[in-house]
Amino acid sequence: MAEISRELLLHVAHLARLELREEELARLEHQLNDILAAVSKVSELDLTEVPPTSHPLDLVNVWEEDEPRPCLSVEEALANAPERDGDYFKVPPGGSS
Amino acid sequence: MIDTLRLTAEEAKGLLDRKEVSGAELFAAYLEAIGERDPELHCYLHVCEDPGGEGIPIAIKDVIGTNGIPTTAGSKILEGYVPVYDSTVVTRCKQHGLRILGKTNTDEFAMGSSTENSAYGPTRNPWDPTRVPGGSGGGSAAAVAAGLAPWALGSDTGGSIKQPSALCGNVGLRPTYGTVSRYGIVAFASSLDQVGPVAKTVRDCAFLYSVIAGRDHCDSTTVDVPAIVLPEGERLDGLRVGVPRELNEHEAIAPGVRDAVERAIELCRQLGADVGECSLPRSVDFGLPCYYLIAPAEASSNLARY
Repeated sequence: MAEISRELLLHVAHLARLELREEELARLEHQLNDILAAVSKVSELDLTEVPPTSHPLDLVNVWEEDEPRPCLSVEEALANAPERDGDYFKVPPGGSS
Repeated sequence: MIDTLRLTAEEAKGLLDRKEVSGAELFAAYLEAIGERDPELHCYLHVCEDPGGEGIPIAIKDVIGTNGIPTTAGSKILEGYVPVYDSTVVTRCKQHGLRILGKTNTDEFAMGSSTENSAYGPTRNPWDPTRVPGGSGGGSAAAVAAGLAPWALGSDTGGSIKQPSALCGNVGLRPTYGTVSRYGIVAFASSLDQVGPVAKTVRDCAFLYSVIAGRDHCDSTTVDVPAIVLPEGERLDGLRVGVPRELNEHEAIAPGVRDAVERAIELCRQLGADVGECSLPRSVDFGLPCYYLIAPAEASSNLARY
């Protein structure tokens, strides 16, 4: 079972755009490894006979009729837009993250 | 003088039906209680004005979207976000005439068991303000316990209704997955999240559950539920209760907790329930590891948008 190394932790923090102080890094390294240990416990079980479960109830392929219904107006839909351009959401140019 | 501390939702309805109290007076009584105690307890992130009408007031956990009312999920990321539609559970509450008192505090994005992880500060347990009310729905549980709401909606992914209800001395119901719509709530783990009632009595909880439960065409994981019968008395005759043996055998259980569970089992028996032992052999060792696989993985997907 892979352990979280300091390098991996820094890489994950970078992906999450989190800036961490040294004492946070030390604490998180410890905690993340504890969580990984708990998670790897599941691999102790032989699950070959257990069917995958996506819902505790017997629901398969829940369909709806394709009927138009009242929906949000353009003004409502754009109400929380930080920036808009006419009836469009205005977003940063592609390529930035 | 309305004693909001002790008033149940059912009693509030009685006051309104008998015209002993007007809708405006009832709502104002809760606003007054909130004004007095919420500066200390911090149950509420947003308090609403009386929308008018004669319905029973209700508090709503801030992960549940409310049209025109700020919804932060306890996070600064959603500071200033005002939904433009209601969650289905809120729509159903409004259809029953319920009036929203406000949005209650929660661990950020419902992740936590103490409400200490709210980005807006913790909520205090009304029974002892030096203690936590539990979480993530500590705001809803504390509000009901302190008489700052007759009942509330919370959400439960890994205990966030049950545990704060226990810590605040309320009745809380975490519904079976699929019986209550998740449309409009800020998702944590979509295969675990459920909205449910927090109240002072089992009858209030049952009634509020019947208001929100049932199939929703906006949430394809929901099903219809059988008609919910409000319990008339306190007898539990005909009820079968299973107590998983393994959950009571763990050496880490505090002695006081074990005694309380045994007293509860004895009380159920005295009230006529058929209480027997059942077995969940892998629950103690593997339940939490499974949760730590499913919940963070699903949270990672749901929160990637931020």
